[in-house]
Amino acid sequence: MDQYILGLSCFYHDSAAVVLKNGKIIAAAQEERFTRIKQDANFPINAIKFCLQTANIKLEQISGIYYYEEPNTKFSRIISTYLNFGLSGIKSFPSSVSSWLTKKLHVKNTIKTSLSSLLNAGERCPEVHFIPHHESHAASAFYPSPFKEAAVLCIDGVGEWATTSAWLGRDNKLEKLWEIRFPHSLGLLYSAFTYFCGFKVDSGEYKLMGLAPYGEPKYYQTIIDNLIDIKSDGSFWLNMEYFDYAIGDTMTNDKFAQLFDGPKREPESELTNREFDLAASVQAVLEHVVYLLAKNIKQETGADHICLSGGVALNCVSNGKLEKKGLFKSVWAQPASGDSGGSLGAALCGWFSRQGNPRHSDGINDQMLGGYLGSEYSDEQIEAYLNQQGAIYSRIESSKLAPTVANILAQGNVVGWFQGRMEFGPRALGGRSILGDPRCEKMQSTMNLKIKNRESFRPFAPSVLTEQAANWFDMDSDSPYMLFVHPVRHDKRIATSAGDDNKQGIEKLKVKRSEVPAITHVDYSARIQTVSKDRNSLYHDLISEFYKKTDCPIVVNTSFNVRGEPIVESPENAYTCFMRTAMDYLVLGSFVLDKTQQPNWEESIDWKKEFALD
Amino acid sequence: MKNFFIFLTSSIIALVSAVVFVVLLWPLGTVYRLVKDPMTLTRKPNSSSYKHYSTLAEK
Repeated sequence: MDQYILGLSCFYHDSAAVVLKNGKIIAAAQEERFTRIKQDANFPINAIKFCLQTANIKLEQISGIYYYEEPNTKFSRIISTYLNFGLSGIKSFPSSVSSWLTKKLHVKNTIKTSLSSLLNAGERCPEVHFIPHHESHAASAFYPSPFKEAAVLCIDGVGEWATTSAWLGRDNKLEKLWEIRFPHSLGLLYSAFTYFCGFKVDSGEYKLMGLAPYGEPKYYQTIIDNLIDIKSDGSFWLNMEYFDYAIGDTMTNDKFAQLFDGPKREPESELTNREFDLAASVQAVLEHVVYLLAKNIKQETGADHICLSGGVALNCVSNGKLEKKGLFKSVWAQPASGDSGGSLGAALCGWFSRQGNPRHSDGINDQMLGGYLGSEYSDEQIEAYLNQQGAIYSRIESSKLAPTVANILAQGNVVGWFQGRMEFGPRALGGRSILGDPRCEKMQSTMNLKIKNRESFRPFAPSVLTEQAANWFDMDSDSPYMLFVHPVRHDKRIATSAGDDNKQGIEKLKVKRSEVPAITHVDYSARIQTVSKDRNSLYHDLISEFYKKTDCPIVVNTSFNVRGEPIVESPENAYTCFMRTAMDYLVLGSFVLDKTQQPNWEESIDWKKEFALD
Repeated sequence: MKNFFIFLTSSIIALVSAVVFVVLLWPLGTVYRLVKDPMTLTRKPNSSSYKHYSTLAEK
């Protein structure tokens, strides 16, 4: 008889649900995609419904529910923290304890109550089990990886106590080696700088990473001398005199501001050289610590491979540099490395570690199915929606879809691309993507300002044919989940003048640096997605057709959303986003829509206010 | 009405929490920190590593 497991993460940020069938991932989705609330923390009832529907089962058929944290341990950490900080914690203590006593300590009951709507009379709710936060992360990294044996490094903000942990995975077992505990957290150090530079914690870290190449690591030594003590084994201790996150409402305090030449940047205000340099500095510190930790784990375990998870594993610049160091034969990072992936890890932990089921790995392929684990819509469903909207469309037969869209892209148009199953995790990988021509010099600013409505400094990622990747980028491994940054090859770069080289800050953006300027960051780096035929056949066909027409095996790939909006889930979300922005074409399944032919789009509200800026 | 009760419960818990903090947690914390500082928040430990080994892999 088939056995199903439900994994859940919720109540903090990035709520998500996953269903396993006999240990295989059947479906996974983040709640935000359904509720349209970015990083929705609420109970993921919509994601659960989707998972059950995809598995074609009822809730009662689930053999166990695995939650990605241990609430009691976490609460003990909160109380211990207040014990340590004394009177300075009095401001936040009442509200913090109140939310714990009324809600967060009763996770089992909350889950069972929330699921009661999915049960008929007489049906029982499956048992709920807790998996420690970092064990969930470690499981999400190791169990779906291609490896029979691997070291696992988890780095995030904080779970219960652990902020960094090392594990050794072998077959179906995960052995914990050590951990570094709260409040000493590399993730929270990075988030503190994210906050100080005027970006939102838990989502703006990506912006800080993108900002780093505009600056110089001028504050590197200041950080090392004052904020963090790093040992030779990579373990670290943060000087809490400069941080407020343990018990306060903010990440940093006045002493932190004094150290870095003034108050924090106000959100949406102009970026200055200070922010560029701060970003470059903390990025350099992070890369140094990650390298030392990985080197130490290599010495401790002797493992050939390493798996990465936790929010810091989404720092693809650090991942790329770690891979380049060659400490391990291969580096594999979980594509949903943040808390959403905790649901997957909890479920896998339940199946392998707790139930002791055997695990098989071939050493080559991972078990993430390319990340395409979310919802999908048939052509019939899409057509019904388009007809209801009165949209004007052409239906293209499947063999002609890739050449048709490649032609549209080659003419410099921006295309919304909605195909197959939605991605699980923060990156769009060709299922819910906005695509463009990377050769076009203005594509980066057009997509940032006119379509995504986001900051002009942010870079775009390339999707490149796997078989062509090494001809364009300095890389020799696969990167199917857009989790590794590598430089554009020297022979694809364009010589810059002395004047160009002296440009500072955002001015650097105006310099054409390669044959594919839209995806070349100011330091010549690119966050690469390699696309193979076996993972996404249609997307591979599209890029191949684009290559035939242009000699360029790359397209610009950014997530299908506007700033502050979760990635689109349904044809309705996609059409709405298409009509609201300056996108030229929309491809929904077999249907191609030209913006110039669409009926007028009118809304009574200002849609830009619908999504809070991230 | 339900929202009112939630508001009332939260307010009462917050008030009791504040009292518990001043009467219990603060003095207890002061003694706790004098005796032991398990999280090494206020004192940097004199150690060659900041790792905590799990019981299984104690080194």
